[in-house]
Amino acid sequence: MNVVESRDLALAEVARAEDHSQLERARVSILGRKGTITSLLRSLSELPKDERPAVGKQVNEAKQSIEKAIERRREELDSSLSNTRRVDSVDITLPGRTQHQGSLHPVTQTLNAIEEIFVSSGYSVVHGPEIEDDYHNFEALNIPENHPARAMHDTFYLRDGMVLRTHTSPVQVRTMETQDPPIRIICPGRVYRRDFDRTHTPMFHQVEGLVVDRGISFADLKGTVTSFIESFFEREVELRFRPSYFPFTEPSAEVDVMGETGWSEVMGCGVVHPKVLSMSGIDPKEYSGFAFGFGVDRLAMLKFGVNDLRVLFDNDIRFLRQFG
Amino acid sequence: MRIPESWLREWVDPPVSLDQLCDQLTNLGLEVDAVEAIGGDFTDVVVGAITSVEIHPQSDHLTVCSVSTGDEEHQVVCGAPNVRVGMKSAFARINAALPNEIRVKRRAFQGVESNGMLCSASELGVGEDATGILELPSTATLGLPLADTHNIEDNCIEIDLTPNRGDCFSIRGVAREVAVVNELPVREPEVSQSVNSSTKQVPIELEAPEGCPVYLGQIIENLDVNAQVPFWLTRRLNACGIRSVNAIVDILNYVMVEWGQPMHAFDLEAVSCGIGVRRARAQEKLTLLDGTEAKLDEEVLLITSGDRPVAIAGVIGGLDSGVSDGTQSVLLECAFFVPDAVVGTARKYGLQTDASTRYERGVDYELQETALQRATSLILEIAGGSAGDVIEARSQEHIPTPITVSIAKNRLSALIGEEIPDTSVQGIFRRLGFDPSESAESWTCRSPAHRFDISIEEDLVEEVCRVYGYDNVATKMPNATLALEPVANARGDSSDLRTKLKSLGYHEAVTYSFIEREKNAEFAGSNESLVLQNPMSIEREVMRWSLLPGLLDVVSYNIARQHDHVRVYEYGQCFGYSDSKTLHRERLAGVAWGLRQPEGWGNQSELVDFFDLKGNIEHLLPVGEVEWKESNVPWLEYGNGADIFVDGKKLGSFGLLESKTQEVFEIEGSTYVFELEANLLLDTETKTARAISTYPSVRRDLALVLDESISVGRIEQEVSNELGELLVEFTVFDVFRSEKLGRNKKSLAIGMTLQDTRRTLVDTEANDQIDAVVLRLKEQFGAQLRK
Repeated sequence: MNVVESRDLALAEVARAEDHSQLERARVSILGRKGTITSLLRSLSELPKDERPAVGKQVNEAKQSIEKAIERRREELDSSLSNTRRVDSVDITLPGRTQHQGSLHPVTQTLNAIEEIFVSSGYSVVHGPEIEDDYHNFEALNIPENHPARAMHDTFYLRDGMVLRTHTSPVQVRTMETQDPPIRIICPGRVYRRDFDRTHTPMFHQVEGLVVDRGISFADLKGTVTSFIESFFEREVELRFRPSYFPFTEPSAEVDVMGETGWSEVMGCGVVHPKVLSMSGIDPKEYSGFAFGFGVDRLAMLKFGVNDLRVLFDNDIRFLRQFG
Repeated sequence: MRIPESWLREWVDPPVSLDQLCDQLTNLGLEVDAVEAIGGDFTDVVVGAITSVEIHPQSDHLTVCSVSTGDEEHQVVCGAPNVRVGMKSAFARINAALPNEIRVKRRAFQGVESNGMLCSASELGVGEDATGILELPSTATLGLPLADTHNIEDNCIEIDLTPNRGDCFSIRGVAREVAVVNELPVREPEVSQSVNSSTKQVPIELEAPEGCPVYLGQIIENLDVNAQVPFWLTRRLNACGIRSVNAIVDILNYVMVEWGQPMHAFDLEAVSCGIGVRRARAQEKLTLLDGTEAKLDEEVLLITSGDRPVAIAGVIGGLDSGVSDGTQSVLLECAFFVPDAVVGTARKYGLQTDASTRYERGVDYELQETALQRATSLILEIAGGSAGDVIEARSQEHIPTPITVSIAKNRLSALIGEEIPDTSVQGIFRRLGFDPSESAESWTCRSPAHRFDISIEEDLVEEVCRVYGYDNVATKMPNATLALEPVANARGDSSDLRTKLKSLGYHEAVTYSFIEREKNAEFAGSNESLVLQNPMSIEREVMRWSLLPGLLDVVSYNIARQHDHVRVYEYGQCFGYSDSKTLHRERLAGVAWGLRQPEGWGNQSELVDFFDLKGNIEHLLPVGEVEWKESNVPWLEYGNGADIFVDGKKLGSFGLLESKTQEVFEIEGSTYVFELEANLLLDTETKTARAISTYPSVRRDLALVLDESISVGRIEQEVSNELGELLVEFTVFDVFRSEKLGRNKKSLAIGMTLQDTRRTLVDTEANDQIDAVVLRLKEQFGAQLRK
């Protein structure tokens, strides 16, 4: 005999009653002559003597709580009856009379999230020109003319030796030229490379970060990048650091995250090359630093489940308004 | 670079699976892009020996052969020209499955039964050669499934090499890395000293030793260029993505892939007077192997013969001096060109060759003798001929020397952020061939001849981390020495504006910064456009001077997709050129087209108009004195456009898009646009609080009849002049026109709220003030009170 179960079933039945007749039917089925609780009370006599008092007490308590519930439900049904028809009812499913909502571009939302994370850790956000001179885009980053790494960049050229910046690293150079360490910045913005396919557009967005201080190490870089990626994806992420090559960092690394289809590259980073520091007037004997850079659009794709980068720049309203 | 697994394992064979091997490579910095299983899409193909060959009784070009598979003999009809007694080849048994869903059946060829098939490399899908049946070495075991021989079943590892790791551009280089991480020795194939049976030599002269300090040559006479290249060799080349050309070229390619040493073969007749290495002269020309003519300049390093150019050093050979079908004797070139002498040349002529990519990144400068020996012995073995002595030209002083790099032990651990035990560091440096010497405080290493990327202490840091494993290095957070900064400095950005526009119903667009020339011209005015020198297409040719062309394209795109309510905006940089300087302007622009509100039960289907847009812009304005003036910008319809000034500075313009401009974008229906300068929008001053009056205010309304030409702005100005500080609010609550009012007349209903900050304004005072206003407006504008 399970008193608790019978009680809970009875209470649920009471709660389900939507009008007085249903409630009355429920009462009879529970507390009537053949009601569930009434039967329980009757069957007490079949129990061994020493168990009777305890079970009997339980059943009586159950009976009382059910009676209370029936009374409460009765009052509820009374009051809801008297409330109807006081004012005309509305169709609550009719859409609201609001203005149309616009949306923030998924890239902007992603950038906002990234900036939020870094600003809250004491980084400053620095912007710079999208048209750069050769010095800031290449030479100051240890990429002299004819360096094989220039071929990695597929640069757009303008008159007077100007280029569309291929990364936001020139903003880091400009910062190091004017600011003494400690430096903790991120540089978001548009960058340009001549490339167009499912995962490349000739314009995309990057965030680069730079930390320069005394005693900065490769381990610090690993920690910062790991904690950023986990903050951004809001979960623990399986990460892989693997050696790579950038002329402006040594050691250099690429960072892969494990996704549904295997490793996917999200970031390049490294310890700032001493030449890059000294060219911008920082003594590499005294200071060291790390830098990292990643494609915002790519993170937006991962975050929002977009599988063709080019869609981001079609600006189809049906696409944009999904992101609110 | 593609590396067949079997080839790599010949050099070093760690006890790890293919997956583990690939992980090791990736973790060493040799990123494995893909692994492809190659070959072997067939069953029931075995090694067979041809024991007899008869001419087919009914056909001249068929033969009837007897093929032994060890246990039995099979009669086979064959059409290959190279079939001969004693040869071993690939034999497909009855019911064998070949690529392209071919199944071998017993059948008769012109009356002779054939019980199987002798196959070419192409028929088996293991090579390109379709000219004859596969020739297997005489050592192949009869009856053995072909898949088990010659690494038919193999995997190709595709590695994406970074530009600093030229030393890994070969089987040898990759093997070296695998050996380092597995702590194994590299098993180099034995290179036998070739027996040189001829003494023939030609002179070699280094006139540009700074570009070419080592040049080895060797003559091989009377060889057979058209000799059959063994299957194992072409098989490997094909796996690496290299096509088979002829015996000599194939062997040189093989040695290059294996050792990383590019080589070249000249037809001896074309270079019989010897070899020179010098810089090109201006106007000099050379017809290249691919048939194109290169116009050379003084930077190009040339190989010459009798002062006549025969090759661009380290990049590509000349057409006239190359090996052809008729070649009988060759001169092999095995040189060290310094990276600087090759870098740039290949790109300048659009010739990225296997050789140039390797030389650019650095070829082992101690390798030439071994590589040449390897090539010569292979040539003698496959194409025959007799080799002369090695001709050697060296300029010792120009050969790179090992670089010695030292790093303090505490510096090493400081840069890594973790102390790695000395014994581990020692082992890493030793296995890398850095010849380390250790003192109590520091390490000293020497860069081996194959490494061109070891010159500063940070390079040693990377090597230690790389071999130790990036993932094994500690993970820490940097200590912060933080100064707090004003939020505006940390993040003086546009997010407020964007949020407001979102609430106003605008979708944020991100459009390309380069646009079509004609579209830009509509908005650029007299500004000079910045044109890309290498645009991707004519539609993306000039840098935008305005955000509007991009946005109007977005509007047009969405109208075509049946939207009847389009609101879009963009925030971004615009570019121009003036006084030899590039101009950057950060702007905010938007477009409103179509219905005022989207279709809905509570909305009327009216079209957006000027005042919807103005209302939106009013939400965005910064603090300051705002003036609205008639606009003259050419892209706004005259009389329907306004310029906005804030504190006397022009913030931007908005209004109805000019109809000719609109046609350029193929948009129909009124289109309202705005474009504002972001620096003025973001230039927000902190507001100073003004005391709120505790005395009651008085509201007075007036209905005025005015000429159409009198703007509300002028009325407001005059009211304000009259009431001074008493006026706390001015509103326009009705504007209407009717026949009763008369032509060119309008009625304006205005409300004025008056309040004094020091006392209660009594009714009579307020009335007197309003009477004065009425009088003033009558005098100034002939305004009448409406009856």
